[in-house]
Amino acid sequence: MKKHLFPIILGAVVITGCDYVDVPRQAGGGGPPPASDTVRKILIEDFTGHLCINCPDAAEMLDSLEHAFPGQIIGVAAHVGFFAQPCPPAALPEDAPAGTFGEDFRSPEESSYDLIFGTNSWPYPNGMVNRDGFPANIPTDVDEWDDMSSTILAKSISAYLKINPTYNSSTRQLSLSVNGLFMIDTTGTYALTVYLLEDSLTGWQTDSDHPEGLDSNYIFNHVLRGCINSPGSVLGETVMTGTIPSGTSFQYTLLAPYVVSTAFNDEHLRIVAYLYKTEDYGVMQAAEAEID
Amino acid sequence: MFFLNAISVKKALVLFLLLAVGPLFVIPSQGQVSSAGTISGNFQIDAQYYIPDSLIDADTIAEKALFNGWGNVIYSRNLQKGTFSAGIRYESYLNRLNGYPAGFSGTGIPYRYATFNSQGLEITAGSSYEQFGSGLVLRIYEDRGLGYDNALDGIRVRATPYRGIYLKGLWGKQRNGMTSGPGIVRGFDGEININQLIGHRMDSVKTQFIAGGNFVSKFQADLDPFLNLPQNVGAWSGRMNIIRKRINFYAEYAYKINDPSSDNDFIYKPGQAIFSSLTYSRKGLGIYLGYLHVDNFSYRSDRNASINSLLINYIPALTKQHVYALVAYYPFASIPKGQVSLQGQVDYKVKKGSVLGGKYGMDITLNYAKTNALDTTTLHDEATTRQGYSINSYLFGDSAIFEDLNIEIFRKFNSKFKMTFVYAFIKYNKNVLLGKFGYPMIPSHSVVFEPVYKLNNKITLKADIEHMYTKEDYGSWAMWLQEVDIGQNFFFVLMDQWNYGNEDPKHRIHYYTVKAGYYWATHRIEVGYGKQRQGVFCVGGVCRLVPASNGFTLTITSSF
Repeated sequence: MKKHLFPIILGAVVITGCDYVDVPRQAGGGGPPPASDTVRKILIEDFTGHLCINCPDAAEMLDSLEHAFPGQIIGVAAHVGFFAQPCPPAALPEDAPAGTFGEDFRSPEESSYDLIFGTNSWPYPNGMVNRDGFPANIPTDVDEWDDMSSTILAKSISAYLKINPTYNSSTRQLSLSVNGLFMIDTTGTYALTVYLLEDSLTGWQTDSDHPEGLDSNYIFNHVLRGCINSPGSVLGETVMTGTIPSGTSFQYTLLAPYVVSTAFNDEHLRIVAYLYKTEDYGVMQAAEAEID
Repeated sequence: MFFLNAISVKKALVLFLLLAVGPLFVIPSQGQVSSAGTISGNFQIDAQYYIPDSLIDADTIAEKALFNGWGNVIYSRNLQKGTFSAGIRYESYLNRLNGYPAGFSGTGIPYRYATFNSQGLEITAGSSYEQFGSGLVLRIYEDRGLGYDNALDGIRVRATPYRGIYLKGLWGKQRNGMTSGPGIVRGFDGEININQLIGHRMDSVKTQFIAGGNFVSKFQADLDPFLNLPQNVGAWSGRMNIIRKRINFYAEYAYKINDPSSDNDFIYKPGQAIFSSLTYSRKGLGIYLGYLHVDNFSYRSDRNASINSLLINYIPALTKQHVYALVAYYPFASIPKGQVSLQGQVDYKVKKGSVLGGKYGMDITLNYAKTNALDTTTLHDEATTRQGYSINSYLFGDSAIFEDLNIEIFRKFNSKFKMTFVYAFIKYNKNVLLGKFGYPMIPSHSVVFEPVYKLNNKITLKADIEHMYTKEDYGSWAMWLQEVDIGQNFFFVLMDQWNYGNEDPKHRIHYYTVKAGYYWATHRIEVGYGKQRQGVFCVGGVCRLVPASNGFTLTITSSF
């Protein structure tokens, strides 16, 4: 038997061993998705403010994670609470010249965040990683973001999202649809929220790592400018409810075009969408797209 | 699912006791030797109490104290027709030490096996470790310091059907923390030692020929909505080893079919790897040359896994494994996505009785290693064949990743005093090796003096004095470690690592540590207090980040 055992194992392994793929793309469905769309992506919501002296640490952590997990980290910087107030009415930080810290990066969704998650009373910097651990274990300390990201990204993808934006720079009207696909069997109510973010904003920021404690040319990225599909609220719109078998797809279309404020630089805008379960706000998948 | 959760731990222990201890109470029957077998094992506990310290960016630990513990128990018995052994490893992470990989949490028995070995055939059911060749295609192993354990849960068979022929086969799922991964791994390896096979007719041939080859396949279901992902991904390698007198030549070529994954941005390009080494050794002289070419050769049993999870293969690190703290400050990490590496080393022993060598001789090791990115051309074919890039040559690409030139000298001066000296020049690309961005290449110069003086028959003094100079990153460091060994049972250590070159004066921090340990029989207890700087800990090119901490530590090890 011994002499036959290994040829049998070898034969079985070789026969079952290889699937050569000549055509990577499946038939139909338009152009190819970016490769990273087919992997799990996580939403990291960073609650911050320009008067928060340690908040640049969180932004740095977000940058590090984006580079450590390319294409898999979707960051949102929500400027909320006391530390995000412009000066005045907030008092100027010590040593700050008069007339500085006038920027207001807050968005209309600030109160919605506070109502659901109590964000305005959190110590900053703080955040949520896929809203994992809600409600008992949020907020998530910045030092835990990398650990938690590794843990979540080690799991297989459970849903797919793809944003299809169309933007008219003359009228500044933004239309979009989002394709989704559930890749596991699940039950519950799932909603989709779509945000508008702006990168490369400059302004004053208190910064504990800066020699003077103040940075006059700080670059703000991932700044939440507003919710596209439910302005003023972070709840978005329900897209699926009940028993949902794996393979169920949906297409969400924005009913009316969203008008992008002229206060925003449309060359630095991005769209972020996330699919979440309404019972615990847990994010199942996130996606982002540029505005061309 | 073979892995056991906390609820089923009791059942597993009962089962194991029946398996292992039961035979002790059985009267030996015909076919068994009279020995009731042996039980052996070892245990380790690592605990730390964390003190908040914002100055060094130490994490605030909600539990205040964290704990890793594990114990191996192995029963083995010689039978008339072979040998039997069975073992378990109980592991507990309550909660895991800060910085240890996230998948290790809770308690359980994730490792257990039974092996029967008889007349050239060995069969293992349960957990096992294995390596094919140099590991380019398959290396299943563990390193508890790294928190790395990709044990295979399934069946492993090894056989020697004929003198000089060695066969291995395995089939199972890989361990992922305290659970298992979604993919199935199947593999086969064969090796022929020509000299052994032919036997005495080769006695006069002074060259030894060893050849081997393997084939491994993984299965993972394709759930992707847009891409046609290969569910079965095969990889193979062929190797040869020629040994003649003082020369040893090894070469292995490995190939992998299309394996789109998050590691390679879901490209379909086949992967390949070449590893070759040449060594020469004679009394007082050793020479080593190594070459490694890695092209899209990350191979995991889950295409979405990252960092150290569910790796099937291993990419060897062609750099010296530095043991001194500041020399190892910028360690090399293997880059399965693509790298070209060269390493050369000369070991020379200056003769006893010479001016330089003195009474005992002097050991000199000169080592050089360099790793660059691949030499490639980007194809921009995402919409069609998704090959990603093509290889222009097997030589260095333009992007430098790591370079290390070092010399180590050891000299024993008399029966009481000996010393080691090290100098290393290291260039480190933090952006590639740590996944950062915006950092310049970091050059550093390090020197080490390690004098050891035996004061008397009971007391030995050892110092480790190090300095690393760099203008980049966190700047220069200095370190002094003083160890006192008292007899065979005690040791006492004081250490200070000082980041005096940090640009920010408030971060020019002294990282003090004090430790004491006691040994007796097969037991060892070590307690300590101090600050641990943030860093990267690597073994053989596999790394994990170690966060900064401040607090008390306790380590207990024991074996029987």
